[in-house]
Amino acid sequence: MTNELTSSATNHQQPEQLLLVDDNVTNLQVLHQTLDGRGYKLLVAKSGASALAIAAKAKPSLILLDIMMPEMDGYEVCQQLKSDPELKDIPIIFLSALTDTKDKVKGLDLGAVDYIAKPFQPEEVIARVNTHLTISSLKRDLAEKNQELQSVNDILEERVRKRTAELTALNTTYERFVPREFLSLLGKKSILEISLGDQIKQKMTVMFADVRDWTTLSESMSPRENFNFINAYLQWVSPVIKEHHGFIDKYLGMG
Amino acid sequence: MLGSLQALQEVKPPGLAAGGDKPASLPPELAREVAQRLRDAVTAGDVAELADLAAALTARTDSAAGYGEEIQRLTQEFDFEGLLQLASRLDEATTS
Repeated sequence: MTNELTSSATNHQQPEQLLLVDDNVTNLQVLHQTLDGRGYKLLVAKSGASALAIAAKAKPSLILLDIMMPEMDGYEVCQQLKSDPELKDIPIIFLSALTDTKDKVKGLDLGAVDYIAKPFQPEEVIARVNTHLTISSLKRDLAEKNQELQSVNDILEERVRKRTAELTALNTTYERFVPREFLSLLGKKSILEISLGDQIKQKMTVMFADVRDWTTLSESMSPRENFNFINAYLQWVSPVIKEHHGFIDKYLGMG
Repeated sequence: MLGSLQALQEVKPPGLAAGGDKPASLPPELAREVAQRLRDAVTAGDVAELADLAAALTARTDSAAGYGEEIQRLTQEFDFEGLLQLASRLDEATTS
């Protein structure tokens, strides 16, 4: 390409692209005249097939689509656009001389956002185009915000998951040293709920009971006799502990 | 060369040379560029690009001005088939 001809593409801000589809040249001229010079980039197709090709390439912001066209009518064009994931969100406004309610309903059922009867008033076309471009833009913004929120939510959920796992691990570790009965006595569910400076007025007795010469004694007994001895001791001491709302924290031995 | 001139004669108005009996042709490079831009713009349904191209050609003082007017007329009539035919004729003129 020699670029002998100057290009007028100096606009930095991309204008909204509108695709005008009609097989009738006069209709296209009227529609083009109506929308020209209003800051839109106007694309034109004279058949359903070329409308689909142009839409796929340009992904216009809005399509004004005639219904009655040879070969492929506007309904079929609409159906094909709506079945394409990349094009389905482009708002379509039907333009038609068909004024029967069922024709309008059919177009709207196929996914069109609006219906303008021919002959149309230019002001009406401009107003409807602007309205649907605004709605479409707001929808896009909303979808983007939702996606942002979803991303933030995913990050937060991941943080909560990690923190919960850390706390669970800490709990499990601390529980080896602090019995549940003690936490229950303090009215806490987890050792992690206890912090320095907690002031709980609670009278408490800690009893450390030792069986003197247990090692020597146990060595002189059979395993069965050892169990019987310990069980006899616990049967004697347990009711007393329970009576005083106490608990046995742990058993220690010399091995 | 004669073939290309005959081909260009079909383009209205082809831009007559000073003698008035021979249709003027575009320089091959320019003809190729115009043909390519015509095809791209028609495929994209981009009437603004067609209008820009027509205006750029019309503003020239050489034989290209006639093509600019022709493109402008075809664009106003949304005659995409006619524009594609013009592109083909320009291509033929550069290759013959």
